[in-house]
Amino acid sequence: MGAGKNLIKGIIFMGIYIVITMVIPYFTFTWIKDLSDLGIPIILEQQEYESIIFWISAFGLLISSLAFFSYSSPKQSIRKGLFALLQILVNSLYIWSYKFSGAADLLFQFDASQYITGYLFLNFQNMIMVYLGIYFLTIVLKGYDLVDFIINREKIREKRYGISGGYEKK
Amino acid sequence: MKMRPSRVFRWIVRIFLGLLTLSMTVVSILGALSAVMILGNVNENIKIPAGPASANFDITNPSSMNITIPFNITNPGYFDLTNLIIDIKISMIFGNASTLTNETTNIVIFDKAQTFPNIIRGQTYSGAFFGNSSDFIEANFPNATTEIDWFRTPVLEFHGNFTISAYYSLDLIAFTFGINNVTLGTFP
Repeated sequence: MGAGKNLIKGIIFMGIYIVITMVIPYFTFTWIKDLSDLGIPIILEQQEYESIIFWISAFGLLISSLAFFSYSSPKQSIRKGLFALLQILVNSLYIWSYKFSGAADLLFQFDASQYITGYLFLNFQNMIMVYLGIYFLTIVLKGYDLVDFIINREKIREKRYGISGGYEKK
Repeated sequence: MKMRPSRVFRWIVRIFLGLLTLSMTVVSILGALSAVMILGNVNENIKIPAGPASANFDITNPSSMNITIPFNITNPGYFDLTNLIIDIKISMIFGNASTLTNETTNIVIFDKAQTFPNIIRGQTYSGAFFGNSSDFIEANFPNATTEIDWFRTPVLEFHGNFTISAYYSLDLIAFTFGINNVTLGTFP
């Protein structure tokens, strides 16, 4: 694939990751921040909401930029392997940020009437741990890729450019 | 096109991981939709009490004290509700005659958590929360003759805190729903 095509691929995937890691979570948390539409005014604590949005934006930006470098790199190159590994490591931190920013334990307060107040507490920690397990397997896979790209560098280059040992194949 | 054996192995692992991620995504989306379905009609889906509750709060005769609260919980979501626990705490407010200004005093007289069976998706569970004299905290009761200000109106006020907790989405999501300070009644 040419450099131009790689660049376009990088930009497309950066856009996809911006949507997945920042836009969708932002709108989801903004929506659940005030669930008044559901009959009773359930409100997510403002401080908790700001903390969640901050960490989502911070790690979302990092992931998206790493996705650009990863997807714009030539197929099976060491650069691609390295950026893909870095991206998945930051992805794990992103998922972990859901735990420490408060997004994994959401506390909503509500006032059903003048006298009745209450709360709804949602705990997603088990789900986060399962996702982290999947990410751990992905890290192993990306590490394997990187080692594979380094060990088989000659074979990959031979296949990509049709050259062997620095000389073009006859 | 000939593929290196290392790439074949990689693709097998990648497909396995893809299936895992896909199933987790489906579980997350269905779990979120279920939460919206339950909360969207919370007044109909969680009814505590669902009918007339009966209670005997005669603190002068602790052995006769009891409480029965019927409830209905509907699970309109895509997963079963598991580990359903209902915790009810009842507090009593009275004017404390043993203080100089008959200060209003709040004491917890009942605290019990009861476990109920799982609620299968799409079904409604109708049950009742029971409490007998052994669940009332007799040690907290005030002395009826020396500590209660019988000239206060009302003499005694009873309030309840209700907590419902359960697991959802294959036990991946835990939730607790609490209602505070529900007026249960007064004496007289």
